[in-house]
This record gives sequence, structure tokens and C-alpha cells, in this order.
Amino acid sequence: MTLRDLKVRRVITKALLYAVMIVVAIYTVGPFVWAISTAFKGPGENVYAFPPRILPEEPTLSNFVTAWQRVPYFGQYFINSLLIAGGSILINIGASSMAGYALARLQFPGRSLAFWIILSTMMIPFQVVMIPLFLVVLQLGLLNTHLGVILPTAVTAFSIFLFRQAFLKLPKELEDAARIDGCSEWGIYWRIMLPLTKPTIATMVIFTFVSSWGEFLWPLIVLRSPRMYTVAVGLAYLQSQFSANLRWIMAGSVLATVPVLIVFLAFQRYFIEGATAGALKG
Amino acid sequence: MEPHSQQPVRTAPRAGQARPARRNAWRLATVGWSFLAPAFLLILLFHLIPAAYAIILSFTEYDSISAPEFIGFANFRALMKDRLFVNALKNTLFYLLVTPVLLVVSLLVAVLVNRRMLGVSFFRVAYYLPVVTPAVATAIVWSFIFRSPNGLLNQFLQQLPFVDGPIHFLTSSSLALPSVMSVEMWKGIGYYMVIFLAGLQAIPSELRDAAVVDGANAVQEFFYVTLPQLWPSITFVAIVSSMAALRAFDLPYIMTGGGPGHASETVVMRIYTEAFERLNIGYAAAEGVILFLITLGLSYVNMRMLERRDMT
Repeated sequence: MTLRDLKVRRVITKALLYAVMIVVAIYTVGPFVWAISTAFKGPGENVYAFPPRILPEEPTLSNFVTAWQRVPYFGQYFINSLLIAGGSILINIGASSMAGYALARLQFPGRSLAFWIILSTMMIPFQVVMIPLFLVVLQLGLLNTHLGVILPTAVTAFSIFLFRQAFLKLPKELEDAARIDGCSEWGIYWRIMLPLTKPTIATMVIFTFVSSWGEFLWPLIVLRSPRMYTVAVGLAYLQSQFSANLRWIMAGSVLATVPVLIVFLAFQRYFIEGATAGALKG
Repeated sequence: MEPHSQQPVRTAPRAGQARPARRNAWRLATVGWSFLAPAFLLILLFHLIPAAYAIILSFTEYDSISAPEFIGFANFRALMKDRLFVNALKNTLFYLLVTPVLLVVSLLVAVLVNRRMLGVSFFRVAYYLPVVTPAVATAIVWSFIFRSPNGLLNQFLQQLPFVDGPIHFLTSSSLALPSVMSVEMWKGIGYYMVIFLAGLQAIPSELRDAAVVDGANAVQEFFYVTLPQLWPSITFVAIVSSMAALRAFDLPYIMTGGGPGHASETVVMRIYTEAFERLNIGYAAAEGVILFLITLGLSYVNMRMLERRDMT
């Protein structure tokens, strides 16, 4: 085999690799392209034409306007989803980081038992506890409230575990120096240690946002009046009411997806970190 | 509060200052538990107590209005004869087939993008997009793609010479469940790809180099060097994706509503219907307990897989 043959072979291999990557990308991104293009198509266009036209002939925003107007409280759904995501993020970061800090850096009786108990809840599928959870939420008077959606799902064993790992990595000297300087236990956590876990905080914020935004079953159970619905629940309602109008439903689906897509594209790095953090624990 | 307190005023302890050991232990316990308390209470109130409560409820008849009545194993006995539940159980176990397919496909995709090539990070992002998309939006878009007779996929298949007549992806009892499962796969590939990518990148390059020096070809190198090193990632993906499969609800609920008939109804959909539409709370709790036992069993199998790795 000559040097030239080798070069030709390398070019062919590369071309084949790109071809495969593009095919996979069409499979994963194609549905987005189709949904977005349909959402912009005017009433005169055949949305079922084949092959599908990617660029609308008469592009229009009217589908978005109609979806927004026809579905009661569609704007409110976004506010609700943002409130629920915000609340979940605050509680999750606050409580999980404190617990992770205690489990990683503080010595106290019952610590390993507590850690074991927390980890064991990872084994309990949410769908198994949702019935008693519903009764608990009912007892607490939280039915049809956003707090009722937030509280049961906010803190997870996984986020506590992630924060524990982050705090374990910090050097002991920092803590000792702060203690010698007379810093309170709270001060050590809040002013010295917590700021050093910023990457973990960022990862948790983004992950909690995306999972809270996409959550469907629990809000469907807790939220009873349309005014309280989240985007996901509202979108399911839109689909059941206007199943004949493909353009409106696609417009609604695109609107519901835009916030998570923005967050994802802006913070991709953290997604990769968050996804692998759990796997690498070995 | 502190019976052995010798200092009337609490001051920050200075370095080297000796204090009674008991007081110190008390202080450590208070500090530790007060940091742990918020999360621990939430876990207790919303995870552990409900889990115990679910088990208790499964032995009762309860409609959420009158008090629960203890009926022993009657719910479980009834479930064994409940055709709808047994059907849903079969569907959920069938749904688990998503796991092996996802393992293979996402590993192949990870190997595909685990190289230095122009634009490769763009493709990684493209493959991850479905992961962050809300399940409801995913389900809606795909149900229009699968629609018969004029959905996108059917229009495409119609162009092929050997396909006659539209395929009823979501409305035929044999295809509804596999069609929903294919969307579950579409949504999962990117996530598991990232996990395998991390696993691949953690493999020391010396190992591969050694295999190449010993005369291994690419296929041998993959099966004898890469694959064994990936065992932790494989186990993790198997556990996470099978637990996700057992919990399937959003996609079938939106795409088929469990239909046609009950052909694509999963266990969680049954639990939802029994508990929140028919208010058979004790009965639904028993269904949940069975799902929990299956989850535990599967996790046990996966743990054994992990142990096997540790021994070699």
C-alpha cells in the first residue's frame, strides 16, 4: 500500500464517519426542525405535504398568537412553571448543600446512619409513593398549590449525594484556618465552603430547572384548576382540546420547549458534568 | 440546654483552649444535625414516611373518604386475577426491552463521537437535545410523526415500493407499545451517550496502546480492552434506564392514552387510573408495592453485575 492509498483511505473513513454522524443528527434533530417549521406555516399551506417543506411558504406568527389566546391562561402556565422551577431550585440547593456539607465535613453521632437512610430512598420510585404523597399533600392543605408541587420533589438523595461529593474534595486546612480565626460553623459553611462548590451549584440549578420544567405526572395530580397548571400540564390540555389543528399544537410545543433549549444551549458544559457526576461514583 | 456549661457567655473557642469532652460532643451533634435537618425532614416527610404508608395502604381498602379498612392480602390476590393489571405488568416488562437497545445504540453513538474531528462537539449537542425536551412536547410531536394515514413517517414509507397502505403505528395493538418505546429511546440516547463518553475517556490510553502493540485489531481491542473497562458505565446505564422504563407514564399517556384498548397501558398508568380516577387507593397502593418489588429485584440483579466486575 502506497502513502497515497493510505491518504485516500483516511479521507474515505472520515467521509463515512461524517455521513453516519449526520444521519444520527437528522434522527435526533429532525423532529425539532419539523415541529418548528410547522409552527410557522400559514393556514393556506398543506402541513402534511411530502416531502415536507422546511421553509414555510407564507411564514406567520399567527399560530403562536392563537395558541396563546385560545388556551386559557397560557401565559400564566409559564409564570407557574417558572415559580415552581425557582422554588425547587432554591429549596434543593439550600437544603441539599447544607445536608451534603454536614455529611462530608462534620463529625456527629448518627451521621452514617442518616447517610444510609438518605441513600436508601434512591431505591424508592416516585410512582410508588405518589399515592401516600398525595394524601400527605392533602393533609397539609397543599392540594392545588405550587408548594404542593415543589416540596415533595425538591430535595432528592441524588442532589445531597452530589453536594457531599463536592464538599469532600475541599481541603481540610481551609476549615481549620477559619475555625482558628473564630468563624462560626454557619460562617464556615456559608462564607468559606459553599462558594467553593460553585460548579456543583450551577449544575444543580440547571438540572433542577430542566427536570422541574418537564415534570408532568406530579403536577397533573396536585394541580386541579387550569389557572394553576404548569406548561407541561397545559400543553397536554392544549393537545386534547385542539388535536385537529396541527399548527397550533406545534406552536404550543415549540413555546413550551424554548426555555429549556435556551438554558441547555447556554450551559452545555454543566449538563455534561451533571450527567456524568452520578455515573463516575463507581 | 447545656448542663455542663462553665462559661456564662458563649464565645468563639480560641485555638488550644481545652473544653470538657461531653460539652464538645453535644455541640457537634447539635451543629451536625441542624445542618442536616431541613433536607432530612423533607426526605422523611416526602419519601420515607409515604413509602411506609404505601405498604400499609396496600393491605387496606380505602376510598379516601371513609377510614381505611384492613383486608390482609386481598388486594394482592385480586391483582393476580385482574386482567387489566396483568396486561399492564406484561407491557411494563416488555417496555424494559428499551434498556438493552439503549445500551447498544448509545454506546455505538458514544464511540462514534469519541474522536477529535472538526464539528464533533456540535454533533454531541445535537444528540443531547431530545434529553432536555419536555416529555409532553416530545410525545406530541412524535404522535404527529407516527400518525396514520398522513403522518410524516407514513408519507415517507408510502414512497417505498414494498409498503402498501399506511402503517398504524399508534392505533394497532401490536405496534402501539413498540412505537412509544422507540420515542423513549430517542429521548434517552443522548444522556447515556454522555455517560459512555465519560467512561471511554477515563480508559488509560496505555491499555489500548498495549493491545495494539500485541497485534490486536480494532474489533478485538474494543471487545477485550474497551468493553471490560466500561463495565461501571454499563452497569450504571442498565440500572438507570431500566428504572426509567419501569416508571413509563408520560409518553404512553400522551401518545396513545394506553390504547388501543389497553394495548400500551403501563403499570404506572394503571396506578394513576385506579388511585386518582377511580379512588381505589388501597388497590392502587398494592399495584405500587408490586412495582417497587420489581424495581428492587432488578436493582439486585444489577448489583450482582457490579460485584462480578469487582471480583475480576
